[in-house]
Parts: sequence; C-alpha cells; structure tokens
Amino acid sequence: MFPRSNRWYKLQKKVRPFFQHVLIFTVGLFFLLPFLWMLSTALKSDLDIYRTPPTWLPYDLKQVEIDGELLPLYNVQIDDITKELAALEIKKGQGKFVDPANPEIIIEMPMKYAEPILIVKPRWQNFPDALSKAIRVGTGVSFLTYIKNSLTIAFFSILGTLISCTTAAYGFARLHWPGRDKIFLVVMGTMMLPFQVTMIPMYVVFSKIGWTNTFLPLIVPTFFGNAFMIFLLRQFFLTIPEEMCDAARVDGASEWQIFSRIVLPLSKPVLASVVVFTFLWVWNDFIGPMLYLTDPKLFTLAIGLQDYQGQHNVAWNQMMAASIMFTLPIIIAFFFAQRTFIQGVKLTGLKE
Amino acid sequence: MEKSGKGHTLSLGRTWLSKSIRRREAWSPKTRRNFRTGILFISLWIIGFLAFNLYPILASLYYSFTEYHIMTPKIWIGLANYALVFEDPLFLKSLSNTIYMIVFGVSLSLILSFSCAILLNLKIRGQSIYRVIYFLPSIVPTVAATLLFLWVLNPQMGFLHIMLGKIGIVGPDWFKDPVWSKPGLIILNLWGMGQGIVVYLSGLQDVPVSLVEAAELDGASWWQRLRYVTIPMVSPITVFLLIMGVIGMFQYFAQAYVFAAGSGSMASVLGSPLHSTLFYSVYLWNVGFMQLDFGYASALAWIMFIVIMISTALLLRSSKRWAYY
Repeated sequence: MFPRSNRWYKLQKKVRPFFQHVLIFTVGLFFLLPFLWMLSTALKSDLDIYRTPPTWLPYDLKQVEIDGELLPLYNVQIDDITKELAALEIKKGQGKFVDPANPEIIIEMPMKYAEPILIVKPRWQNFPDALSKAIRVGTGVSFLTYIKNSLTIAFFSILGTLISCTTAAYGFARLHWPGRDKIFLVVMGTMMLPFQVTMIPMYVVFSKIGWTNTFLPLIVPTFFGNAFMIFLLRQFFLTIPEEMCDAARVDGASEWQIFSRIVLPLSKPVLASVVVFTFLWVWNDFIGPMLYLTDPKLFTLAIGLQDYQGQHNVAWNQMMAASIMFTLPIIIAFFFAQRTFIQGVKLTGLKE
Repeated sequence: MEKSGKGHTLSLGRTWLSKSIRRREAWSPKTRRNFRTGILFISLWIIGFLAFNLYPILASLYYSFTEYHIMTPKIWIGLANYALVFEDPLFLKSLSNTIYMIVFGVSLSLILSFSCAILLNLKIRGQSIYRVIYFLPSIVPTVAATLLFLWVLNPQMGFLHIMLGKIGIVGPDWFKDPVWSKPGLIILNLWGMGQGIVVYLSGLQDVPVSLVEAAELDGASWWQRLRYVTIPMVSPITVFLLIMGVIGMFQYFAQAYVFAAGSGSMASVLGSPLHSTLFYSVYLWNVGFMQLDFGYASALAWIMFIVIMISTALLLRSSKRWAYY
C-alpha cells in the first residue's frame, strides 16, 4: 500500500505542473490570438485580407522581374498543361501573359484559366502606407496628422498636470494650514463626479468662447489640477521625511525653494508615474476629442481611427497597421514602467 | 441708484470680511502665513475646482430643470425633464441595456478574472510571461481594441469565425443581430479584463499562507479551501471591482460608439443594431449632442449620478453581509 501511494504522489507531482501549463496556455490564447490576428492582418496584401477562408500567414502574389518591371505570376492552364506565366495586363477577363523564361512571346488567355500564385510574404509597406495615405479626400489629412495632434495634446496635458498637481499636492502634503484636510476631502470628492455631469455645461462654455475645434478645451483644464494625480503625488510627498524640509526651513529656505529644490528632485519615480498616466489618458481619450473636435485636421488618433473605420471600403490591413502604431507606444511604455502600470491599476482603473 | 447699490454690497462685504478677519485674529501670524502659502500652492486647483467642477455641477443642475436647446433661451419647466424619463421608451431601453451589461458582463468578468488570477498565482515556471500576456490586452487603447474586435468578429473574414467554423459552429452576425451585439461587446470587455486579474492577483498574494495551510491540515479539499478561505479573503476586492464595474458600465461609451458605427449599414445611428447597444451614456450623448436637447440630457446626467451613488451605497451596505473586511 505505502509504496504505491508514494508512487502515485510522485506521478501527481510530475503531471500536475504539465496540466497547469496546458490550462494557463490555453486560456492565454484568448488574450494572445487577437494580437496575432492584428499583426497578421497588418502584414497582408489588399488581395489577401478578403480571401475566404482567411489564413494566419500573410500571403502575397509571387512576383517576377521582367525588363525591370515586377509582374505577378499566375498558374495558367493551356491545353491541359499548367504553366507559370507573368501577367502583363488584365482587362475584362482577358489576360496578357508572358513566359519569364521566354519574354518575347505574349500569350492571351481568359482569366478563368489563370490562378494567382501566392507565397508567404509579409507586406511591411502597409505601415508607411497607413501613415502617409490621405484618409479624408481633399483634406490632406493622414494618420501622421492624427499622431501629431495626439502628441501635441499629450505634451501640453502632461506639462499642465505636472505644474498644477505637484504644487497642489505639496500644499496638501507638506504645509500645515487650517482647513487643509477639509479641502482635501473636497478634492477626493471630485473624483466621484462622472464626466457626463459636467460635460454639457463645459461644452456650452467652451463653444460660447469659441474654443471648439481647438485643443484648448482638452489642454487648459489640465493646468488646473486633477484629483487623482494630486492624490497620487500627495501620498508620495508624505513619505519624504519631514525633517529634511524642516532643516531647510531652519536654514531660511522658502516653501517654494523646499518644494522645487528638495521635494521635486526626490519625487522622480512618482513624477514618472504622473507622466505615464497622463499620457495614457490623453492617448486613450475618446469622448473629449469627440466633443470638441469636428475638423478632421484636428482629430486625435482615437477619433481619427474611428472616423476612418466609419467610411466605406475600409482597408483592414492598413487599419490594423495604424492600430498597431496606436498601441505600440503604450506597450513600450508598459515594458519600461511595468510597476507604475500595476500600481495604477490597483489604485483605480487605468483607462477611466 | 447705482452708487447706493454698490455701497450696499460693499457694506455686506465689509461685515463678512470683518467677521473673517476677527476669526483670523485668533490665528497666530505664523498660522496666517501658513494659510496664505497653503492657499497659494493649491490656487491652481481652486480655480480648476470652481471653473471645471463647481460651476458645471450647478449649471447642469439648473439646465436639468429647464427646456434648453443650444440656441434657444432656457425656460424653467421644473421637474418635467425628470418626469419625461418614465414615458421615454429609449431611456428605458438604454437603462435595460446597461443593466444587461452589469448583470452579465460585470459578473462574468469578475468570475473569470478571479479564475485567471488563480491560474496566474500557481507556482509554475514562466508565470511572469503568462502574467504579461493576460494583462497586455487591457492597456490597448479602447478604440484600437474595439476596431480589432470588429475585425476578429467579422462574420465572413474574422478569425473567431474560422475557429468556430472548425468545430462546426456557424458564428452569429455580431453586428447585425440585436441578440448577439451585447455578447460581442462582453467578449471585447473580457479580453481587456487584465486590470481585474491584476487586482485579484495582488489580493490572492495577500492571503496569509498560514490560513490556507491550517485549512489543509484540517483536511479541507482544494475546493473547500477556495470556497471557505480564499474567496472570503478576497471579498473586499470583489466589492471594489463590482462598484468600479457598475460605474464603468454607466459610463460605457467609446466601445459602444465604435461598435455601432462599425455595424455598417447605419453608421450614423447610435445604438445599432436596433438600439441593442444603446447604453446609458450613448443615449445621453445622443440626446445632448445629436438632438441638442441640453435640458433633458442634463437631467439624464443627474439621474445617472444619483443612480451611481445609490447603487454604490447599496453595494457597500449589502457587502457588510457577504464581504469580510
């Protein structure tokens, strides 16, 4: 009895991790496969994305160079013999083909006898194409414009948030003044307020002063504080030893000097978090730009991509290429600042 | 006339000022100086609070009692906007759609993110890679993720269609069938549930090992340890995620907007197909910025705020009975 159960125990110990791996991996496919599908689509040729059934690997026409020109190859059936021929011209179901080995002779065949030859070939060109292609006819707007707009808004929002939230957080963390804690409760209370409540009056005000179709409604409020960031910074400032500030005070430093020369240089990690979070919010923001930006020249990536999707005949390969370029900065930021991301998730939802 | 009016406010101001000065006389010069510095440091926030929080709160409360289209003057109509919701079939539709997402979407994402957290908490090799894989979808920008799923769920060329086809199931048309549009969005939400997983995972790591071991010594099976030790220990996290989920669903907008616009034929109609993705915030947007009915939209915003507050309070209250703090 005893040795058998021992063997059973040993077997279980060996087999269990295997099944755990299988389980974790299988569930992981649910998270992983859409990414791979995104990448696969972004590398497909225009012809390949509409092929049914779809394939995981990107296929493209096999091409051959004849007299300095790249021509697609076809399997053409001529009297029961199938030949690899390059297509010169295709018109109204008739194709003009040449034999790559013997380019002088031109063969004309109906296209129904021709089958394109496909090989696995990623089409990297989709990425530059997605960037430069004019999305709205007549406006000269491309994804590059949208990226510039998103970056502009992100830059000023980060600047504004850093200026307004660090000062406020210092006021709440390091200064002792009557009424401070009550006002801090008000700060925390504003976090409860849904965007939808303030959205309409803010829209009325901003449109009355002519700020619609500018970045100002998205940027200016960031210069006047944000409850979550103030909270985040305050929590960090509280961990800086009070004695340090007191020593500087004894030496005659003003509060501003203590703030800018002592507290800020010690707070680089949390400042980095503020930069990352603000960037994420701006990059991801949908409803704000939807409200205030109607001119395609001013679209951010988020609403620009949506706008492109809403048009007819979406080129899904370029769409996915653009989505990848939209997502990549965040993935890169994640790998550089994993801890910041995880901390942010635990404090509150990152995207909201 | 004008002068006397000014004098009146001036005297009022003076008494208020003298009162506050008298109160401040109790403060030492040092306290007074500190107060001034403190206010100076938070002055940007104070301006922001007045301009971007307090003013819009009061204004939208006022709008909600008026008939107000952007160009017309506001007409006071009392509670009429609030009474209107009971006769507005689209309001009820949007509310029931949102409740559907809370009942099915939020609960499913809680159960599944807890299960995933348990998987990621197993002591096996390569766990850090799995954790990254499970988490990454949640940081994909909302619009990019929704577009990706429009493509993944594409009924002719999407990869889910192929996968289902391989096991002999004909996938539904997620964008044209009102029965399947919300499940489609729930799948999208589940793909991005990494944040819930991370929060649960950190909770699981905080469960004292001694407690689990004690239960094991007492002969508790894996399921019993889960049911009577782990789940109660992470119940505060469940409360937190549940509340965040309910709030999130009332504000659910970008995904639904992109999804409805992507359903093709009726790109301009929000909530398509057949109002099945007309969620609360989408309807609010529709009333406010498509119909430009700011009065009614403000009332809808306030109802949303009140409903969020009440449901948060109710959840916190009921959680005392089923969560262990």
